[in-house]
Amino acid sequence: MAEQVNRFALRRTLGLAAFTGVSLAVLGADRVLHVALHRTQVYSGFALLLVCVGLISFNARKKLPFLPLARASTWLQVHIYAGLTASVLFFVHLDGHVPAGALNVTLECLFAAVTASGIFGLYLSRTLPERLTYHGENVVFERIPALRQRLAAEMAGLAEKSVEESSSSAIADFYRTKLQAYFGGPRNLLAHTFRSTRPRARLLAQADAMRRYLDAAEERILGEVIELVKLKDNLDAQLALQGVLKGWLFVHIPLSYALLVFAVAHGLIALAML
Amino acid sequence: MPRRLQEFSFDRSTYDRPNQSWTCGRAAEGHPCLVGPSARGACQATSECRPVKHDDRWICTRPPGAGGPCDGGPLPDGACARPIPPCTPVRSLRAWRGIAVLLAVGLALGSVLLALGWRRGRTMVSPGDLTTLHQRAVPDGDCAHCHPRGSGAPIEWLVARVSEPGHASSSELCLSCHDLGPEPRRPHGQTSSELHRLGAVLVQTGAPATRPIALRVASRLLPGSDQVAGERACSSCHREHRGSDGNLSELSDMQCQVCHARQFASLDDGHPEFVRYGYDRRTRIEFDHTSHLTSHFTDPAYRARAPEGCPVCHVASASGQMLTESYERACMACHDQTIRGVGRVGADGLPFLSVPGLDVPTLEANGYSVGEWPDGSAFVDAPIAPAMAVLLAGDPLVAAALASLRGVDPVDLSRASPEQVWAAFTVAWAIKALYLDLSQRGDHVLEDRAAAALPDPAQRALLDSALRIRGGLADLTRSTSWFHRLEDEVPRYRAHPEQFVRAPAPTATPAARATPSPGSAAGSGSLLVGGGSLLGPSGGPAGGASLLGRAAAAQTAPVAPSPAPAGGSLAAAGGASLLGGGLLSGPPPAAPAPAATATPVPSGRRQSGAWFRVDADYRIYYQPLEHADLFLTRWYDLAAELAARAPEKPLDTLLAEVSSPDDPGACFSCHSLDRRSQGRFAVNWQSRRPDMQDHPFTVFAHPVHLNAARGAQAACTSCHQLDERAAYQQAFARGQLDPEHFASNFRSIERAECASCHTRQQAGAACTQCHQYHVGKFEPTRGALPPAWEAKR
Repeated sequence: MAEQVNRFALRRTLGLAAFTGVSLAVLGADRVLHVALHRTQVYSGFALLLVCVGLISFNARKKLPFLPLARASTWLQVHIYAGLTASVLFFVHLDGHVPAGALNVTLECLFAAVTASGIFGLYLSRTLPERLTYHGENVVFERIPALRQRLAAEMAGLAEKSVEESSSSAIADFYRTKLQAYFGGPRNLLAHTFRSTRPRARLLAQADAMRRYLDAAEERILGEVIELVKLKDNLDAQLALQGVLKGWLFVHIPLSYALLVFAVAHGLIALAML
Repeated sequence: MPRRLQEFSFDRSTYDRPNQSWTCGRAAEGHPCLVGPSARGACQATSECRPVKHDDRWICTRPPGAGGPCDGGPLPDGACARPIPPCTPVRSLRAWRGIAVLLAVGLALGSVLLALGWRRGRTMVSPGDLTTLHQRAVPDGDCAHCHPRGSGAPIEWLVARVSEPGHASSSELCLSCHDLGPEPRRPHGQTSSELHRLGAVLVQTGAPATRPIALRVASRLLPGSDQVAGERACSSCHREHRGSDGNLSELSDMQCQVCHARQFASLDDGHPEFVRYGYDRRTRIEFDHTSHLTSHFTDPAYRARAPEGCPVCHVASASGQMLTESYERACMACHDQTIRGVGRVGADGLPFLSVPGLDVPTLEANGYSVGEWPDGSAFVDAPIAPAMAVLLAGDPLVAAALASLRGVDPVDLSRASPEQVWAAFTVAWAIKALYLDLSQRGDHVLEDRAAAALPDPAQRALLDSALRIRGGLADLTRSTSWFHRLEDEVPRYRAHPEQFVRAPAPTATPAARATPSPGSAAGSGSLLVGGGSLLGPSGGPAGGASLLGRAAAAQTAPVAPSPAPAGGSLAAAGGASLLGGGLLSGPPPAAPAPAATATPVPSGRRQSGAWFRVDADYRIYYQPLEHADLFLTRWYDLAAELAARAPEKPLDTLLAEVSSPDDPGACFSCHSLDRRSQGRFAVNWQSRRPDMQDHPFTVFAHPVHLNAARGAQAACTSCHQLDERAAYQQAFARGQLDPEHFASNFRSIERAECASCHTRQQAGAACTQCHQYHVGKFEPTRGALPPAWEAKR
C-alpha cells in the first residue's frame, strides 16, 4: 500500500515538474520571440493546435486498445498535464487581449468549456471512485437496471410473503405506498450526487416506525425489506455517481471535437492573412 | 456483511459489451439475451441456445450463466424449445456519446463553413475591431484594404493563399496610405549606410551597458540575417484588431532595442550620452540671448521694454514644441525703427530698375548704335539691378547677351571681345525697350516679362506675389528724364535692328580706347550686380567677393550726386569726340541721334507708392514699408530659388542681394540664410514652427514638463542654462550658410538631467516616451482622417 502511495506521489511530482518546466519554457520562448519582433501568436497558435490534436488522440487511443502505444493510464497522465500546458499556451496565444469576432469568441468559449470540463472531470475521477467504494458494493454500470429489476422482484415477493405469513397487511401496504415506486426505477440521484442521505434515512425511519405494530414474523420480513432498501439505495448511488463519471465526458469530448474544428478554421484563416 | 448482488465467475457472469453501439432491449428487465443485437441495432436473437446433435440426440447448449441446459431440452427436430421473443435493442451510452460528438462536430462544421463561405462572414472571422481611425479609413469593412488576399468571402482568402503565393504584402497596402519617406520599411526609414554610421557612433558613446538577458537572446533570434539592410513588415511592431482604443504603437523597451548595435537597460543605465540635445542647429532667427539678457535688457534705455521672463517670448505649441512668439509681440518694441530705415545711412530701398553706364563711343566705333543713352549713368556706375535682369532675361537673345557680359565692365568696352560689344549693344536696347514698355503698357508688362523669364511655375508664382505691390512703378518710369526718344527709337529698332548696326570703323580712336572710365577705375566692373555668381563655380572667391562688395557698396553707399570725376569727364569727352569724329561715318537716316546729345545728369528723388526714383542714381528703388514686407520676402525667396536652380545663368547673381545684413529692411540682420541639400538655399523668415511633415527621432513635450514644474521660471533655466562664452554670433557671419555649424547660447542638456526624473518608478523611462521610430520628412497619413479633417488639410 505504501509503495503504491509512493508511486502515485512520484508520478504526480514528475507530472507537475514536467508541466512547470514546459510552461516556463513556453513563457520564456514567448517572451524572447516577442522581444525579437516575431509573430509569437503564430508560434503559440501552431503549438496549441498540435497539443489539441495530441489531447484528442487520447480518445482515439482508447478505441484502439490493441495497439502497443503505452498504457492508457500513461496516456491519461500525459493528457492531464498536456491539457494544463494547453491552457498556458492558450493564455500566451491570447497575448493579453480578449478576442473578438464570432469565430474567435466561440473558439475561446469552447476552449474554456473543454478545459473547465476536463478539470472538472479530473476532480470527479479523483473523488467519486472513493465515494463509490465507501458507499457499498461497486456494480457494473450497465448491469444496474437488471439488478434493480431483481431487487424489485424480490421486494414484491417479500410483500406477498408478509401477507401470506401473517394476517396483517402492514408491510404490503408499506410496499404499495412507498416501496413499489421506490424500486420501480432510479430514485434520489441528485441527493446521491451531492452526498445527501436524507431520502434513505427518511425511508428507513418510516420502516423502523412501523416495527412496533408488527409481530415477530412480520418483523423478520421487515428486516429483509430494510436490507433490500439499502441495496437499492446503493444501486441508486452507484447509478448517480457512475453516471456523473460518464456524463462529464458528454460535455468534454463533443466540445473537444468542435474545438478542433474551430481551431483548424481559425488557423487556416490566420495562415491566409499572413 | 451486506449481501452482494453481482457474481463474478467465468461461468456465471454475463459478458457486458459497453463499447458496442447497441444493447439488448431486455437488459433493463434483467434478462438480456446472450446473442445481442447486430451492429446496426437489429435484434438477432431467436432462441436461448443452439442445440447440437450428439449421437442422434439433440443436446441443449444454454450456458451456465443463463441457467445451464434446460430441463426439456431441444425439440425432436433439433430446434430450441425456449424461443426468445424479439426485442427492441437500445443504444448504449457510448453510442449516445458518439451521437453527441457527431452533432457537435456537425454544428461546428456548419458554423465554420457558413462563416467561410458567406461573403459577410468576414465579420464573423474578424479577430477584433480596428482602431477608430482605421475604421474610418475603411468604412465598408472590406478586408482587402489591408490584406492582399482579403477580398471576397473568407474561403476565397484560403484559395488565394494557395493559388497566388506571390501576392503583395500587407505592408505595401499600409504604405499606400502611410507615407513614411523614401525608405519606409527599413529601420527608422534610414538607408543602410546611415544606419551603419549611426550604429558605429552609438557603440563608441558611453560605457558598456548592462544588457537584459532576454534582449541578448532575442538579438540572436531576429528574423532575417542583416538587420540593418533588411526590411521590416509593418506588422512586426503594429498589431491591429485589438479594439477601437487599441494602441498600435505599443512596444516594449526591449523590442525597441532588439536591432540596435548598442543595447542597454534604461535611461539611467547605459543610455548613450546626449549630443547637443536641444540645439541641433543654429536658430533660424539670429537672437543672441546672451547679449540681450546681459546687456540690452539691463540697459536703462530698454529695460522698460524688456520681457519679464521666458514665457513672454516663448510659448508651447499643442504638439509640445516650444515656439517663439511673433515679431509683433517679441521684437517690434525695440527693432521696428531699424526695419523702417530710421537712421539708416544710404539708400533706404532695393534697386529695381536702373540705367547702367555704357561705353557708347566704343560701341559706335564697332558700328553699334544705341541711340540716346544718358551720359551721366557712366559716372554713377549703376549696374543692372538683379530684378531688372530677371525682367530682361525673358528674351533668350538678351539672356545670352547678359551671360556674355559677365565680368565685363560696360563702361569700358575697349578691351571687350566683339561678342561682348555686341552683347552690350543688345542689352542696351533691351533696357530701353523695357522702359518703353513700362511707360506705354504700364506695370502689366511685368507679368508678361516674368512669365517669359521664369518658366518654372513656382518661381513665377513667387515673382507674381512679389509684384502685387507694383502701383506707382509705371508712373515713375513714365516720368523719368533719362530717355526722351524711346517712342521713336525702340519701335524702329524692333522693326529694323540691322539699321543700328553698321560696318565698324577701321580703327578706333586711340584716345577713345585709352580713355579711362569710371567703371574701370572702380575695378572689376560689370553690367550686372555682382558681375558673376556669388556661389556658383564660375565666380571664384576673388570675383565673388569683389562683386559682393560692389553690391553692398551700391546699397549701403549709393553714389551721391557729386561732381563727376575726371575720368568720367574724359569718358564723356572721349565719347563725344568719338561720335563727333565721325567714326560712325554718318549714321543712316533712321539711326538715332548721337550720344553726344544725351541729357544732362539729373538729380532729385521722386516717390510713388512703395517706389521711389533717385534720378542722380539712375535707379528706381523699392522701399520696404514694414516688417515681413511682401515684396522683399518674395523677392529674396525667388533669388534663393534662382540661385539653386540655375547657377549657370546670370540670375544666380541675385543671391548676392540676399546675403547682406545691410539690405534695405535689414532683413538679414535677423533672418538667416541656409544652404540646404541639392544646392538649394532658403531664407528663414520664421522661427521654428510645428511641421506636420517633420518627424524627429526625439520629441519633447514642453507643456507636460512645465506643468510638472507648475510654471516656475526655474523650470526653463533648469534645463536651458545660458552659456555666456559661446560664440553664438559667429554662426551668422557673412557667408555662413551651414545651419549645423553653430554655437548655441545655451549649454547642451545632459542625459543625467533627464534621468534624474525619468526612471521607471517616477516619470517613466520608456523609449517611446521620447523617441519616434519613423523618422524623417514625410506627409502625414493620407486617407485615414475623417473627410472634414482632410478638407481642412
